[in-house]
Amino acid sequence: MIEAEQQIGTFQDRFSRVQNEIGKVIVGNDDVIEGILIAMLAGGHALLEGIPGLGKTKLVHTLADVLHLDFHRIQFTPDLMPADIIGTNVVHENAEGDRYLDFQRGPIFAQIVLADEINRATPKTQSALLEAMQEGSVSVGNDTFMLDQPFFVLATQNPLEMEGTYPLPEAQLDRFLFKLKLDFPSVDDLHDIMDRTTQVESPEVGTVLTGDEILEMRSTVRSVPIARPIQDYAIRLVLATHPDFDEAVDETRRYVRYGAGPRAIQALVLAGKIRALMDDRVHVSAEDVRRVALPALRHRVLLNFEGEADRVDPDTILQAILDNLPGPREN
Amino acid sequence: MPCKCFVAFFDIRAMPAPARAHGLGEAPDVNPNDMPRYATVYATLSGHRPGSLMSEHHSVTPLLRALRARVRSNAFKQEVADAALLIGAGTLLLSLWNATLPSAWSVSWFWLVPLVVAAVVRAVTRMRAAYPLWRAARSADEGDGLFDELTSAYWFERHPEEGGLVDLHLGRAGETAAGVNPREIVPNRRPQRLGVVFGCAMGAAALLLLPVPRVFEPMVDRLGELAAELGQDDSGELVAELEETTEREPDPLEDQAREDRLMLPEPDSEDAEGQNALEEQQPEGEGEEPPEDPEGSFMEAEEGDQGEQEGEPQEMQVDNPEDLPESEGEQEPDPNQSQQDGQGESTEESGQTLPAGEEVFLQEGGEEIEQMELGEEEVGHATRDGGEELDLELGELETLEVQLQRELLAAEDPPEDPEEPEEEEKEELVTKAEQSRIEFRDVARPDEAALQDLLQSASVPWEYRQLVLAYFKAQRELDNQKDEEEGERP
Repeated sequence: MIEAEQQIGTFQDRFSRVQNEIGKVIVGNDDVIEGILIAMLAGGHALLEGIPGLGKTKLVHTLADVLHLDFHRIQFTPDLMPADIIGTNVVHENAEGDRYLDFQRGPIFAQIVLADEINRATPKTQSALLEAMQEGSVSVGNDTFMLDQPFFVLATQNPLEMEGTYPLPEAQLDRFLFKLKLDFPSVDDLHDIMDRTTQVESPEVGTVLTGDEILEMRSTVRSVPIARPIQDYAIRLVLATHPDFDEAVDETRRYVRYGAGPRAIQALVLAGKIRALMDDRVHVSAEDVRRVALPALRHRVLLNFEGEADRVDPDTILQAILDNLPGPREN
Repeated sequence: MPCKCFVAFFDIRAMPAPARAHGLGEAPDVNPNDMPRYATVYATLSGHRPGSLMSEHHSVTPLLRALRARVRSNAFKQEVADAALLIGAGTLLLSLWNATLPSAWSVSWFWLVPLVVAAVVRAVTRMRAAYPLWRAARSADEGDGLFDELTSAYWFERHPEEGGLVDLHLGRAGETAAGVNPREIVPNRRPQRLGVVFGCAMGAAALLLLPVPRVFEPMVDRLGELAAELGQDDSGELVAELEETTEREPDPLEDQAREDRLMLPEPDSEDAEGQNALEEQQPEGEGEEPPEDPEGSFMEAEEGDQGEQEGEPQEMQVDNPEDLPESEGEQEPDPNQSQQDGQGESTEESGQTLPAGEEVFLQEGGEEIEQMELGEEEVGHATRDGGEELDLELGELETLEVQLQRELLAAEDPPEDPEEPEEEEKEELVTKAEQSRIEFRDVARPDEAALQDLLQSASVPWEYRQLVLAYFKAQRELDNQKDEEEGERP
């Protein structure tokens, strides 16, 4: 038990250190930073959405600096090909003059991958990330290459500039544990940003976490117990996004075409566990699940025609579900 | 204290980790394979579920049981209050009933027994409703802001899992449970509606102990009388009669008779008797009068009256057509009727007192008397609008002559059996009607007066007056159609 308590203490200490280091560069957006860390510790990936200039790329760069991990950035463009991401076989010639094919690894072979403006590439190229994000491996021809762990993809997209973009398919979206929205910073935050970026000395961050430590934290997260009623609540929360579910709210029945899948329940449970550890608890509460419901479910709710026509925000539907769904109940 | 006795009896070092965490003893390294044995011992002695690794004294279950006991205590008090309210309200109503209503209507107090039984059954049923410890844990978590700690711990106590974090969670939950005051989570609640219960009890006691006048007794008697009066109401028969009249198909013969009846105002009984007597004395074949017949007598009287009045409307239409309403007013029965009644009586009296010489003179007069009668009638009509004195004088003379003439005619020819008027006489009547230069539609319909009489009479209920009105309107349309058809005939 002492080990468990030490384990939890270590987890909280590391988590707070990463938060503090990122906070040296990134002003505000504490929820986004927390969400990114939760997604990373849960073994998932995060999709950042925000207008240009809010520091999405800077945030990922800072995270890579804080974490002692390999970092690659891929700028997605319409002419980007899958081979540009996962790599390709290149003909080499040895000293004897024999030629052979050698696999040249692409930028996906890293531990932190920034897929910048991911919706500018074609779906064909976007789907090159599918296997890497889900399986942690890359298959080229007959060869399968395992990616180094921890492997973490951070993708960004611009919600305004939709011309010449390719919306992510549902299968691709479902691979992201969280979809995080960056809000425009407040006036105080803007002052801080100006102070930090327009002066001679720029803030520097140090490496505070290694890959092994991250894997250890992931193990701690998965050892947090969750009572069946709380898990049942998470399941019912996801099922409530389906219009044909008994406990679906009116907004769901009216605007939703398809709801979230089992990956959403995994996201809710794992993220709930991390939130419980962050709160110095070793049990998951329904409140933990509720607090991570929006980033875990908003990109998994597929609106129908009426929802698209009325420009319904999925967050509105999810908030209605959270307000109306009964709490945990005994099984 | 049972916990300490229990620990002293067994090896304290054999306690599992949660118990050790609370300082009850330091345990040696226990082989995990032996854990189920300890668990069984604990479970047997503490009543806890077998398989649990937790000591009940350091789990959340005692707290949850305490919470449940307090909840049930509050519920019991509320159920007692509800049962008392039910019984008190019943007692109050019964007391009020027996105290204010006549003694013959009093209800026995034994009727409260089913109410008491029902209240007790209701309370027992509601108290037996399950209040699981899960609900107690939920209420404690929500009341104390524990983020489902007790709920989760209670679940893990019932479904044990291995793991350091599970033990840590259970231990923390036990500490939290030890620090929770059940009185704060479930405070003592005063039962609701206690004031109403007290009021019902006081009211019932007051009704039982204090003398209460039976204020409703006269009202009950009055109600009984009203009910008896209502039972004698014969409005149903009138309604049925009206409905039957409305639903019946119009009979042409009956309509004709009704129309004939409505052409003249209804004579008084004495007048009718006098009229019948005159008609019986009337000779057959003399003049234009039809033989004696109830229908014929009406026609005769109508014709005679209208014959006297025919001269006036014709002249009025030629001279001044706007005076038509006045001619209609003359056809109204009331003024003429009263005048005729007076004439009838005066005729009989004057007939008895006249000298014989005058009778002979008048008998010889013949046609001249009739012409004089017409002239006097014209004068009578002219003076009827102006003054009543002249009208009375001329009226006596006129009726006297008519009476004398009819008596003479009756003396010449004895009355015969009533027969139907001959075809020639009918044709004469029709010819007279056709000779009139007044449009038939301009003449006021006699059925309107009859309708007014009927509607103004008190015997027709208000709700059926529309029905009667509709009936007469329909009848009028039917008559109009008949008239049009007759007018189109060559």
